Amino acid sequence: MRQALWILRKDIRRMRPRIAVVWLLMAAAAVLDSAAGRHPQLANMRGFLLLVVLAQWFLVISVVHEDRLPGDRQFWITRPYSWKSLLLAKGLFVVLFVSLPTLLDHVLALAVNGFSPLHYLSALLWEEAGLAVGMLFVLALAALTANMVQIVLVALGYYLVLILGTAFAMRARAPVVLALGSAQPVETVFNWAIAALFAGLACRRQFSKRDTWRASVLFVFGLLLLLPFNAIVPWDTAFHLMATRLPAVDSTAVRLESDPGHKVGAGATHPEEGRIAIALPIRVIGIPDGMEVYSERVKIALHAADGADWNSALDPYNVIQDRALEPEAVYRRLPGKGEPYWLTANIDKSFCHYHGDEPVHVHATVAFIMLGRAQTTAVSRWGEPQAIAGEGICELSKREATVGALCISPLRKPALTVIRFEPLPSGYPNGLVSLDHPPAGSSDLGGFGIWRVVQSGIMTAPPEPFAMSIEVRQAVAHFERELDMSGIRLKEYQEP
Amino acid sequence: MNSAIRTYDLTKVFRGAPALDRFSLDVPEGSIYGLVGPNGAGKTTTIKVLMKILAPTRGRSEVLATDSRLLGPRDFAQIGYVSENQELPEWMTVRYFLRYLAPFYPTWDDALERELLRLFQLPLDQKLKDLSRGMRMKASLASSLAYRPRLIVLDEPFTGLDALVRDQLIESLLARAEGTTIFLSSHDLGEMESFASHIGYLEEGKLRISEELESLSARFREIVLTFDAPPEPPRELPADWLHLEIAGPVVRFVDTRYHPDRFAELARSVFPTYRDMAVNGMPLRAIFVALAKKGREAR
Repeated sequence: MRQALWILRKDIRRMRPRIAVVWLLMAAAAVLDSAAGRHPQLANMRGFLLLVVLAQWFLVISVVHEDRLPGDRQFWITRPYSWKSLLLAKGLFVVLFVSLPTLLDHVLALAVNGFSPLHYLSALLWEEAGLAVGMLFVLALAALTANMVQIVLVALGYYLVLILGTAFAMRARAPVVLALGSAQPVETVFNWAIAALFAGLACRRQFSKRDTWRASVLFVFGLLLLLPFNAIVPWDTAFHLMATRLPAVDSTAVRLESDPGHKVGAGATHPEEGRIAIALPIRVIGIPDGMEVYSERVKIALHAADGADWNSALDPYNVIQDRALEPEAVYRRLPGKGEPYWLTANIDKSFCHYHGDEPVHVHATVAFIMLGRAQTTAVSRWGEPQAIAGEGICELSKREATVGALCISPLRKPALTVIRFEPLPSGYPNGLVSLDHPPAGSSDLGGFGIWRVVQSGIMTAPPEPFAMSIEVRQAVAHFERELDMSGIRLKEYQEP
Repeated sequence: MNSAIRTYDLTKVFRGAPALDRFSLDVPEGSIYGLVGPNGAGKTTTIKVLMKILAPTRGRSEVLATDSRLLGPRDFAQIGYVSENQELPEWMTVRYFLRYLAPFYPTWDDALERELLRLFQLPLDQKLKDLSRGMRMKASLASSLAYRPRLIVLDEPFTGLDALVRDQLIESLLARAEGTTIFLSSHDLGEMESFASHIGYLEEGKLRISEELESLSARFREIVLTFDAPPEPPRELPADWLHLEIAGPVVRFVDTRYHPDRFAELARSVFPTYRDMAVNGMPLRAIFVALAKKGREAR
């Protein structure tokens, strides 16, 4: 430990000018974060945050390169350095000059804006854990390289692989794989685990043996696993993990029933080539009073009398929807007051061609997110930020015939944020505009900076007078339900 | 006597080309061992393997009775390594460099550090990057002597230094040689001759000679035989005689196993008619030139 502190002291002495620059940038970020409560648009300065992050990376890389590991000419490699002390010294440097100041910035921003840091303790710790993994990754990269040119080449190489790989994935398997939706936190934690494991192993190998070749193989392997199109965790596994993580409300009463009495509604689906859309009338019952469910993915399995089978995966384009709701962004919200809904699914065109006129058995598996009771805040002022129920700050602006909204919330954003206009003006069937909705809104890990931002596009202002309120809902449960429907003649339910 | 360094069939291959070829060496504790050889012979590679900077391809080496692949902080606290190619932390001043290193060594001697600084006249507040090559070597040497290492390893320490600085460094090394093993590489045979106790000659990765300098100098002699008339070349020569040249009535050669009691008789048996014989001692340079020529002839 004494040796680690001695190396750390040397590093601090060496890095003083760079530390000063990074701290200056971090102080500016802290001022912006703290002022964001009064000026929410400051939370949108992602470019500046990126600059701060890049400066932090540069500092960490510089301090590791100060006692460069690859090479055979460094003075320290024949001195009595212990590799554990060296690694510890670099780790302590990261904690002192990156992790702790970031934590301080976030605690300060919370406190200044009236949010209790203690209430956000677990979110803060998750944030720090993510930062620690990121820093470990940067530390490993720095340990494997001798200079900044090599770092830039690695970054460019990774970027190239990312572009080519994503293009390939989009062509091959595309959005089903890429849209992780509410399972994103599981994927994020899994990615952190991979990054920590492989960066940790590479660091250990490189610091203890200075074996750049093998350590680089470990690092690159981890890097390839982290490419976003890999989706190593299957979506349904991730969803089940989410279900065990978030059982805040008992969802056992929620059931699906078929409702053959309804006619097929007006279609708004766009099935891909080789598919046709069907809409099966159903009801979702047992939703607790004031809550809503949101259908994230639906799997359809078809079974014909002659034994022919077809089934879709858990497809994000298959949904249960309330077609009375508009615009499209909120149509998957199901208040569950007994209204008829439609299970809209894209099914195989040839299966429908051969078996569309005969009764087939349909088995549906629906992945739901349950949204808790709405927390509503009446908007009383234009152009001024105001605290909203559900832990956030919103600013609504009105300019001539347009309305804009910008809401920020610390570290995690609500699953659903909606603006409600009252009384209902014409052109706004439900007086609702969704700012953000599940599943994107249900992810609270791996964000960037302290503020999570939801923002509307420019909305046409309803005719005066009207009142506005903001409703937010949190995700309270993830669960799956199944439904069997027999004797379905698919052509009768085909979208017009 | 114990060995400070031992190698067993040490082999290092770079991209298929052997830099060290089954190299076996024994450096006695307390000796001043000079590893000499032409450029590219493998001297620096040997030292890098010994210092755990490179891993051997085959064979093994021991430094202070520890496998060199396993050298750790405790071992390096007893080893002083100085190389002409070493990258020093250029931003540090001489003072900070020494103060930074001191806590790493339990045996660091502040009084000795002061003495070395005085001896080398090092500018304490100057950054290492601003020092001349000679001064950098002095700073590096001071930082490797101040903890009284059991083994000092020097890789071409005197290359490019002027004679004055070189003598100063050699003097300071010799002053601290008692009880310390010094292992140094050089291609400058003259300087090696002035203070090495043992010599190893490395050529193309192979250790051709490794012995005490005294015995090496004693057994190599340049012989000049003078005749009344040009002699007939002998049909057969002793294997230990190298580079026989006949120029008129004068014959020259190198005897690699010279023995004063037996030589006259041996010479007479090969050249019965010689009139005069001169036996000249050979400087190290001449010995290794003779060996190098022999190597070339053999190839």
